[in-house]
Amino acid sequence: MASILSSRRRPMRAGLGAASLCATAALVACGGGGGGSSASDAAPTATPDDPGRAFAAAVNSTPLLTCDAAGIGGVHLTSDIATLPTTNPPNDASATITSVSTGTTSNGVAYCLVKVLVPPAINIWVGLPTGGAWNGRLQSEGGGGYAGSVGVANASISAGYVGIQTDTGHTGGSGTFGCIDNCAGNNAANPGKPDVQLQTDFAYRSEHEMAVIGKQLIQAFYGQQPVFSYWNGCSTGGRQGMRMAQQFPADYNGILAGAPAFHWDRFQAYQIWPQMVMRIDAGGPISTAKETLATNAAIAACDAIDGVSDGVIGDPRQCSYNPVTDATITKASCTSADNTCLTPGEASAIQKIWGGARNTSGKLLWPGLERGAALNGLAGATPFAIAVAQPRYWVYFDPTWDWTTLTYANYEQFFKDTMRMVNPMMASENPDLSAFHNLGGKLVMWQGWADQLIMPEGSTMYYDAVANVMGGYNALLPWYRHFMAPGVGHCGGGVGPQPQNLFQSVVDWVENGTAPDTITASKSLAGGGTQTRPLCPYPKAAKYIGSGSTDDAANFTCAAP
Amino acid sequence: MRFRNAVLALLGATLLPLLAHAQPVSYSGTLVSGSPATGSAAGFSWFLDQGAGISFWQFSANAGDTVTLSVNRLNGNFDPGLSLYRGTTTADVSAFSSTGNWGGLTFVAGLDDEHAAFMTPGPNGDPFGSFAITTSGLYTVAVGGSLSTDAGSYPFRITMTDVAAVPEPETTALLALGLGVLAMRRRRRAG
Repeated sequence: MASILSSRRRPMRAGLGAASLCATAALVACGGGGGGSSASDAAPTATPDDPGRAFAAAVNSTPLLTCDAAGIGGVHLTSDIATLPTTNPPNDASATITSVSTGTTSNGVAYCLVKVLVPPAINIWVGLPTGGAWNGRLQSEGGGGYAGSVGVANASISAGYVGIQTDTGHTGGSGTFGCIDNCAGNNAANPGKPDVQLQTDFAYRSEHEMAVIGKQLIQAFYGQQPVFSYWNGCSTGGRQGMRMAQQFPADYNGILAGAPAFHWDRFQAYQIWPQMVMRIDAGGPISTAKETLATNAAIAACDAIDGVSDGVIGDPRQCSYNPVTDATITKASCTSADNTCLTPGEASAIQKIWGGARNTSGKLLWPGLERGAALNGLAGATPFAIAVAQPRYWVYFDPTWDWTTLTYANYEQFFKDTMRMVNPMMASENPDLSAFHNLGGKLVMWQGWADQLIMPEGSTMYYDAVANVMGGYNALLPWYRHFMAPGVGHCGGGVGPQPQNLFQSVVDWVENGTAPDTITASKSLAGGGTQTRPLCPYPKAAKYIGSGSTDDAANFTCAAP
Repeated sequence: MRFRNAVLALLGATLLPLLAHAQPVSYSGTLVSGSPATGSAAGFSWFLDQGAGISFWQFSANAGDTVTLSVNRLNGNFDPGLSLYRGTTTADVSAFSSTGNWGGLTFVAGLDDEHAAFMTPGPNGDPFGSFAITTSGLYTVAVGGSLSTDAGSYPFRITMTDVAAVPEPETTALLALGLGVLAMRRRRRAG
């Protein structure tokens, strides 16, 4: 038994590379440490032998069991949410260890990998550091998109955590699991039915079982419970983390939720809106070059609103640039092939993309992409995959559903249909976090203002909603903070400085009571050197003090809007 | 006997869940002109025609009256919508429609977003509108959530004002003349 040292803060790994990759690679929704990458490091980067703070509690990092079928493989596990009565197997609360093996992370941390099956099909992989490397903590890594794959939680294990990943109960990220038998043979006249078990497993059960199973294995392997448990995810992983805070508040002491996909039904109903308005107003997809033209014009028009001309819009909600009335780029003589200008129809479509999904009366159904965000993720040559998968396999259960049937007249009905079918299962937007708060949990949420896949006003709306039911913004600050990152894309990337040390800020808050007054964001400058900026707890935002370098975070303060 | 019990048990098992879900309309109260009342409703209930999350109210009005209805959110997360119907009902809430006739009610109008949000931050606006009453009798008001932040239940305040028709001067004079003629006739008969 030894007092195991926790990780010491170290300079960040370069997050930019991975983040940019995440944002540009096929524009898929990214997860936390597992399903993708975050702008921050997925886990603290200290090595297990790092000198640093010591836990108040002693941690036994020496396994009590061998890493084989006779040792940890013989442990009896139970799931605490049984399968549905209608599932095969019915009412099954079992959890079976299917494999035990050993491995070593790239930085040399040896681990015992335990693969667990929770019926009907949830695969959970738990990596238990060996050789005295366990730091006493558990970290669950969130997924991305529709999840559907599982791997070794390398980033977490490398830093000494017990690292956990899950496939969320199905294989493949196409979203077809929302429908029984993947809607095979179904069509509009013969629609399929929702697969409630697999939807449940994806919505919350698998993520909860990561904590349940992980803690059982930790108890058996090390002879004690984890001192602290954490969630780390972005996009779908952000939604999963928020769902845990809302529904299973005792599972995790600290949660990092990036770009949460918590309004799963509505923002995904919006995701087809850009395609619809392009088809109707512009006659088809708008080239990326034209979209960039409009985005750059918006940035030029609104860059200085935040007091600093740096090519980044500080708060795009304050930007009302309208390409329809911008004669410098929108011309009646323009053609769809001319990338130096916009046709009036193209300008109209882009303005409607920014304006959000609306009904025929103009009522805002869901806010749109912000000015400054790349448009080619949702308004590319073809629809974003999830934008079509959700209607087909979660709303109409008809694999032949054709998005080109959408019009301004019937879009509201489509939006309602989506809400009716998807919201009850997938909504992860309950603003009452009092149970999580009362248990002492700490929550850091963040999102890029230039998120090209999940509309950023969803996360500000949620934070506002929590403030509305839990005593106002100041009452949230001691335990829940939200950071908006100007110019940053989906889980990272974009032209803005990238958030750093996000996950470590959660750890420091939980274990030392050190709340993140700001999150430092940084980016490499073209002429050399590094720009740093503070990200401020929403609704405050960074404001230049008027003197000193605008590349130095020290010359900014957090100011109310 | 054993067969009968089995049938009853089967019927019970089949029907009880259905009966348990049956939910006839229950009115939260009767609106009095100029006296605000408070209630609560579910966040998307009006938008998605989810009658179980709707708050129902009734009032009486006379032909020729002008009735004004307004609902204000009492929590910024709520985005209320309102529908007005002629008549009252005890129909099951599952039949609820925010945009048409249902349960024996005659749809008059729906209101949404006419007022800027009562509290900020919060999505869209609050309902507000006036109606010329053409048929005397009871009316039903359904209040629910339009596009609130979430499906949760939120409080609101509802206010109804009923302004009775004020007769035009010519109408008043004609009425006085008519009453005078009637009085004279009675006097003659009595005489």
